[in-house]
Formats: sequence, structure tokens, C-alpha cells
Amino acid sequence: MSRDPYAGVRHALTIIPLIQSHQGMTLDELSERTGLSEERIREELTSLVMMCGVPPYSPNNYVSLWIENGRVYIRFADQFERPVRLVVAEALALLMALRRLDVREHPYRDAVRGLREKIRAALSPEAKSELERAERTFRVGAKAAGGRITQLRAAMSHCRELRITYWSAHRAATSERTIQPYGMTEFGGDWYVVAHDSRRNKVITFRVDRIREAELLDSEYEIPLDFDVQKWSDASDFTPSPGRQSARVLFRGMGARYARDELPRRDVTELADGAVLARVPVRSDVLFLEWLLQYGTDAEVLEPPELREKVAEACRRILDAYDQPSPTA
Amino acid sequence: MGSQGKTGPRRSAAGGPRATGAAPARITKPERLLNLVAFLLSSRTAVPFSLIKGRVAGYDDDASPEALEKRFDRDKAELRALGVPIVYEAMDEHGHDGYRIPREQYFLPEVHLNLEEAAALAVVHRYAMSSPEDPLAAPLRSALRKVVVDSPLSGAAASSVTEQHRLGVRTRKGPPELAANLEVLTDAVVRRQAVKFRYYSVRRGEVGEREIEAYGMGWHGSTWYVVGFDRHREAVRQFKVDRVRGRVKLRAGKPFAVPDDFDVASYVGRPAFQFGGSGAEERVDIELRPEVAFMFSSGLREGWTLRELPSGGALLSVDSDDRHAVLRFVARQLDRARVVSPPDLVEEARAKYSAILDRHTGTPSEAPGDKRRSTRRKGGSR
Repeated sequence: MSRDPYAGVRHALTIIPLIQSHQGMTLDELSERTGLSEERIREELTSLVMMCGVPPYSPNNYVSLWIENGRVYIRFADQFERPVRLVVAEALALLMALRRLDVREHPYRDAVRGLREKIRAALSPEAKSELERAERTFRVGAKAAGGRITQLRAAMSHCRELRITYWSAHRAATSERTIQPYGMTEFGGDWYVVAHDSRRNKVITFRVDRIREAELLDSEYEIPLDFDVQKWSDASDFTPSPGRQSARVLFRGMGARYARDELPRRDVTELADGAVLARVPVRSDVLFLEWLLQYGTDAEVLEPPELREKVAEACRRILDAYDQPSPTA
Repeated sequence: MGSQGKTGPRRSAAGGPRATGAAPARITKPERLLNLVAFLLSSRTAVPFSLIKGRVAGYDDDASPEALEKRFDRDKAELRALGVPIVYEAMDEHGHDGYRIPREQYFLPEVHLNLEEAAALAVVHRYAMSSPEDPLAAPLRSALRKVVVDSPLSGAAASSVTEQHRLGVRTRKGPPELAANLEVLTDAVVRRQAVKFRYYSVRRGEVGEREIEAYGMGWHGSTWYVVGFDRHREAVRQFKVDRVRGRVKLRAGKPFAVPDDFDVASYVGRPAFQFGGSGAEERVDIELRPEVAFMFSSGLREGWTLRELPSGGALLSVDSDDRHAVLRFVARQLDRARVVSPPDLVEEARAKYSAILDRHTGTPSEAPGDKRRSTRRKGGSR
């Protein structure tokens, strides 16, 4: 990043060997592989790499680099045969990112395990033990995807439809539908499949761990050529967008402290006695109730009246459930 | 940063085309570092500093010998941090002594990647490019740059792979200094440097100064946490990074030691009812309705058990030391879950829902006066 004063040196130590082992690679490819823009590459090549040489600094002692028809060539850089080894922070970052793909039955799980060994093997012995320690100090990673990844995987590689039983959280209901999986993505720590849904006749996301049952069908489908799962990254692709409805909620005691911490400041009004009044968007009644009831008696919906009634009704249903005989009795 | 767009003729140390008479431009630090690496890599034997100064570009100006030596010491340290192993070798049988970069230690060993592995890396690469909010994104990008040298996938093939798989971190919107704080904390964890910051504690309802030895970091529920030894409280604590007020500051000093058995996963991501409660530990049984029971089977944590019930539902048993947290957990399931044991917790739950029901029956409460404005018309509560 721009704040790193050694970015140029870091880049040079990896770009030179990359060009060296792929003489004549296109600038475009170099940019794809390194994730650096062509502009940035050009600038660094001319300002730094071409300034690099060894005594006695006669012309043949300088790294020589030229771009011809969009292709990059390098000479006199034999000493930079390979990139410099990974430092601990880099190896750690790689392992942590890979850990997110290490999900039971994920299509890349075997690859991830192989990679992990190869990355460790590429480290110096000291770095290896340092990394072991560091690995225990970072936790990322998606939750277990559970559900039905095997079938999703089969469906995606053979383009065969799936019939699924799905738990829709925002409606608190189970439904059956036929889907055509296009891609898989992780969002907020959960795995989703992006798929065409026959019921709604559109492409939507399904959280994998909410698929209760799945059956591979014989019917085939095609993934549209322009489909790119990378475009599915917006919160609205995964959660129902807030409706026009909002609730006025009064929070007291400890609940007020948590509400203050959790809700956007502009939606919260401070009241006397440490209480707060908040305007809370309602995405769906179910999601709202689930969220509100966590606050227990510290939260009270003041408005609208229909929502107050829904809270009361939810409590009645829950109390009913408590009246049923205990399964362990 | 040494990138002021100089594309003019090359500069050199003594003996080079400097003879043209042009005044030598100052050699920037990145250039000097790169020249030093190039020189040491191309030397077959160890080189004493006396052969570096005056010869290698960047060590050939008219600075005093002491200044040059200091410059060399700093450069060595910085290059080592970049992963360049510069070693000092005592005199060998041929009378050579000095500095060397052992090639076998410097070069990244060949990483043979199969297509699947290259594809998985491509997915990670896309992620690294699009997730600036991940504090490990910068080292991740630089790691990938090194590893791709051996990738059998072309850039184009790699990008088509990523059309079906995506990774993504999503962090909750935090204060503006969040990104900078995450970066400092990550650095502190990797280098084992203590940090100091001001922290808002929800339980106490106040902001206080903390000085911690950051043992680890973790991401859970769209938020980053840092876990570390709190020097004033003399205990390991967990902090939500977005509750830090202002900037995190690194403390100078020797790297601290992390206990051998420390594992961040035993803090971050553990449900609240299994961590940090003040109550006595007890076994709690929770009945889950059939339509949701299956979702718990894949996320079972250590010490949890899930038993199928004749109804098709399941009985989830967990250990807890925080009853409030258990009730919050159960509340999120509405009527799809209920506590069935211990009996007094069942009564607590009942009482809680009866109280919430009372609160929402009849006329709403009067909100205590607005602190800033005396009355507020909008919304018109009576």
C-alpha cells in the first residue's frame, strides 16, 4: 500500500524474477498476476528496477528491461533468479485466507490442504516455528457450511438442477424449490450459493447451512456466460433490504448501553435516566422480533401499534411452547 | 518512495558513466536497498563492508565513514524485515570474511502447484484485491505476488475460475480510525509489541485506558476482536476493535512472550454464554424444533451435544456460566427453541417473556424526557 515505504523494493524483488521466468509475458498478464496496475508497474520498472545494477556499473551491469508490442523482457538480472522467500506475516496471511476455503466438502478443500503443506515447506526453519505460533493468534474463517455442499458441487460441475428444502430465516418458514446453482460465495462468515430459483424466477442467494435437504435432478441448465459471482458482494444481495417500516423502540438499563453501541448514532436519542429512544428499520417482522427479544425486558416497542401487538403475540407463542411437556421429563 | 518519475539517464557509483561530468543525483533509499541486494546476491564470496562502501551505489557519497556504517546497519535490518537473509561470515580458509546473502536461504523454493491449487489461489487473489478492510490484505497481496511465479494458470484462466467462487469479509461499519487501528493491532500481534488505547466498555458504560499485550486477533460476527493480556487488570481479556476510541498506539519495548498454550479460537467466536460470565458453570438443555434443529448439527462446538428427539427436533446441551447470554441465544430462536433445564432457568425464561408481554400490552410507556429537547412532536406518542 502507499504507506509502505518499501513497497517498491518488495515489488521489484518479485516482479524481476517473474519476468525472468516468463520472458515476453504481456504487460496485461503481468498486471493480472501481480495485482498491480500497468501504470504502477511501468512507473516502478523505470524508476527503480532500471536503476538497479552492480559495480562497476557499466551498461551491462544494469538490469535491462524493455517492453515491445506490449510484451516485457528482461536482461542482466540473473542474480534475481527467484522471488525472495515468504516472511512470516505473508505466510500467515495466505494460510488465514485459505482457511476460509477449508470447509467440509468445499470444492477446493483438498487443494487448500495441499497448498498449506507447500507453503510451510517453502519457509525457512525459523520462520516455520514462528508461523506455528502466529497461526494460533489469528482466527478468521467462515463457519462450517454444513448443509449440502456435496450436492451443490455436483450440481455446479454437471449443471444439473437441485431440488432443495430451504429454511427461509426472514419468513421463518420451510419451502421446497428447484434451483440452478451458479456460484458459491462467503458473506459475513457464512457460505451462500448464488442460484436461479424456479419459484421466484430470478437469481438469488441461499445460505448453505439452511438447506435442509437436497436432491440432484436429471434436468440440466446453463450458467449464463456473463455470470460473475464476484459481483454478488453487496449486503442487499444477502439480507432483505430495510422496508419503509421502522419502529420506535425504548431501551432501558443495560439494554440502552448495548443499543447505543449497536445502532447508528443518528437513529438514537438520549433520554433522561440513561434510557435511549431509537428508530429501528424493520427488514422483516421475524428478523425484527428475533433481534428485539434478545434485549429482553430492556426493550419496548412504542410504535407502530401493529408491531407492539406482534411482539406480544410472539411472547404468547413462546409462553405456549413453555407450557408443553418437557421432552426430557 | 523513490518514484518521482525519474526516467533520465542512469546514475552510478564511482567508475561508471559519471565521467560525463553530470552531477550525480541523490540515490534514493529503495534504489540503494535494491543495489545492495543485487550486489550481495551476485557475489560468490562474503564481502567485507570495506568493499561495499565507495563501490555500491548509495554507499559512495561523501558521508563520513561512521554515517555510512550506520546507514549500512539500518539497511541490513530493513532488508531482513523484508525477508532478505543477510548473514555475516567469519574468515574462511581463503581469507574471505564479511556479508553474504546465501542464495539457498534467499530464494523461494519452487512451489509446484497443480491446477486445483492454482485455482484456489486465484480465488484468494481476487479476495485480496477486493478486501481492503481485511488487516491481512496487504501481506496477503505480497505473498501471492511471490507464489504466482510458479502458477500454471494464466491470469485470464485464473479470472475465469473466480467467476464461480468468491470469498468476502464484511466488517461492520466502524469508526473512521478502524482500518488504521486494525493495521496497528495486526502488526502488534505479529511483532509481539504491546499497545495502548482508549476503550469503551459497554458493561461499565465508560471509556478507559487499556494497555495490553496483544496475543491474537479474530473475526467473528462481522467484527474484529483483539485478545490480549491486560497489564493493569493482569488478566487475558477480549476487546471489540470497533469499541476502541481514537488511535491504537504501539508501545516501544522488547517483544512480550505469548503463553505456549494460547489459542485465539478459545476466546473469539465462543458464544457469550461460555465465556466471561460471572455465574457458576452449569449444564443447560435447550429444545430445538424440527425445522431448525438440523442447522445446529454442523456448528457444534466443543462440549456441546445434540441429541435427536422423537418429535424430530433435538436437544442441545451446553455448558454456561452466563444465564443472560443463554436467554439471549434462545430468544433469537423465538418459539423455535426453549430452555428445558435447569428448572429455575426455565422459570426465569417464563418470567422474562411474561414481563415482555406485559410491557407490550395496553398503552405504551411514556418515554422519559429527551435530554436535549424537552418535547418531540414527531412520531406523536400521545
